[in-house]
Amino acid sequence: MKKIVKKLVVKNPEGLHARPAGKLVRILSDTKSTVIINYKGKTVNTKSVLSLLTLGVDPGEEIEVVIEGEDAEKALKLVESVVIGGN
Amino acid sequence: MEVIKVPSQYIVYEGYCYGTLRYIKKKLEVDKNMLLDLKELKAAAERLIDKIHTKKSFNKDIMEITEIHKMILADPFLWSEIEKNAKNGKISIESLLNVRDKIIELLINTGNPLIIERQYDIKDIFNALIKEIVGEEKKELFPNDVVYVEEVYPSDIIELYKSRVGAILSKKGSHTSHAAILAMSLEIPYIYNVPELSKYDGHSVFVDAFYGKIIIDPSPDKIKEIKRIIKKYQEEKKELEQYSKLQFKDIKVMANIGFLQEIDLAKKKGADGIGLFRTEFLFLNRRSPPSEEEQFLIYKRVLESFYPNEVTIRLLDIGGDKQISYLDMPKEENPFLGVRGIRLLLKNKELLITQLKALIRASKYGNLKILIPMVTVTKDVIEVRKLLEKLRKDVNGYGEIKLGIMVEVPAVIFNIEEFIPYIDFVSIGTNDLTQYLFAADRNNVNVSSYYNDESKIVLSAINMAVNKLSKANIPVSICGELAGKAHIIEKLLEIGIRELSVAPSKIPKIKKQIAEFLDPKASSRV
Repeated sequence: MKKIVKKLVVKNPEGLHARPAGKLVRILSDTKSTVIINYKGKTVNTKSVLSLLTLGVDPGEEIEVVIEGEDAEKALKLVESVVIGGN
Repeated sequence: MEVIKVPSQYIVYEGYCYGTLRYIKKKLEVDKNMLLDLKELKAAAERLIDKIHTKKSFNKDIMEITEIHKMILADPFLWSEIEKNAKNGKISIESLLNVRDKIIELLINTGNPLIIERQYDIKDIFNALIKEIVGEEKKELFPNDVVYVEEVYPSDIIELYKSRVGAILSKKGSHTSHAAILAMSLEIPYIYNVPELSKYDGHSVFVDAFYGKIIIDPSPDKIKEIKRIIKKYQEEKKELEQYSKLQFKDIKVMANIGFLQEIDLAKKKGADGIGLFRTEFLFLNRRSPPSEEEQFLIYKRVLESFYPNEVTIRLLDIGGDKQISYLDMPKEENPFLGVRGIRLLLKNKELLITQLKALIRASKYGNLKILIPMVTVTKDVIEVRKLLEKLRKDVNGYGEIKLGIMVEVPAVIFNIEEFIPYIDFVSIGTNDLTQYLFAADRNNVNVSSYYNDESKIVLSAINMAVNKLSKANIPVSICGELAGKAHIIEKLLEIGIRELSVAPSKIPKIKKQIAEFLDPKASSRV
């Protein structure tokens, strides 16, 4: 079981709002790891798009991702593609 | 016959429609005390998810938005909240709506306008869920109907599109809502912030979503005129599609946009760049100013999207008519003659500095032109130029940045020579220029006869400016509504205007007009 903890700065110009949040949930749905996002004292699981939305992460903000599971590295790459990728 | 004018800033997508007004009530007519079985609720949610799943759409915007609705319907947080409010495996509709409102409150508490918008998606989903269980009375809609609702939900737009509705009017709305994105994407005329029209249910109505006019029960003469306008428009529309691809050697037709969401439409319609990117959306409807990083990412996105074409980004242009909680704005009797545009920015240097820094950083991703609004005296420009140069030294890796001014205050027209040493380009804002020249508010129907942007006086003012600026090789563009008036294009071109910036949907028609004016040898199809 791998565990990765990493701080990421959100580069997506839409922050983690509707479309990026939805994309994050969708692409992580196939992974075996759990992905948790910590932001300003709040903790959410990426299985819940609503919880992600209520985090209200603006572009330029820093989040902490905690990933646990056998495909943790793959999951991290997926998270980075949405958060940093800017799409 | 009643004529209603809606400010053009509330037009999401343009067009004409003459049909019957259908008022669709949003309020659910169900007994709040009715108990729903949790298992049935879950099954209803599954059915909805399936319905969304099987509706494979050709349109990527619809797909993205319905994907999110699917996710919300399966969201573990949603169901844990519903279960919390259930007793003995049942939940009342009132409790269900309380869960809905709690979620909406969480969204509103983020203080972020884009997330707050999502409340309509939540309302949409709960609405659909309840209708799925309770069954609904569907209002019959016919092609070319004009639908009036208090609020538009994304699924409304999809349903309305299928019914081939001619136009949508809503009391509340915004350019950044999912509904607006879909209306633009599906090209359905849509205006929001429309006054109360429910009493006109069943009446005939003409919607002019170009100008922002609604005519209820038009007179027989008006009807003849309307039918002519629409026929002409429909014939043109088909023909116009091909003109978006046109590119001229020396003339640019660019887009005026105010939201990132409009980028796709601007590209689809063939914009030769962005002649005006309004930044007000970044600053309004929030509790604190946008950070430098947030602004940088947005400016970078626009610049990249249109590279190598130029993108003109206008500094924050607002005044006392708008409320900004984090700015100290004095109460003014005449906000349009008060502290606005650059005047406001120079009194709020921190804000100006942050915006300039974000722009400087973004400049290396495209061809940036910075536009200063409401310039009156040269000091306005000199101060910004000094600040820009100082900040450029602090920021790494910047590209070329051009600095220019909006010409809208009449004083500038008479004194344009003095500005020449400090500017790289000019954009004439004919809307405000006309207002100030004739001392008439263009949104005030009581003085509409005085506001005339086609008057020879306005053209003469433009001519004065162009004469002096062209001698100094300073490019001039027109970004007001006048640039979108096809019948005036010839006059503007004759004056020497070579750059026009208009709402995206107007680009094909303007390009056609230019092509007809020019010698065919001067245009080339790309």
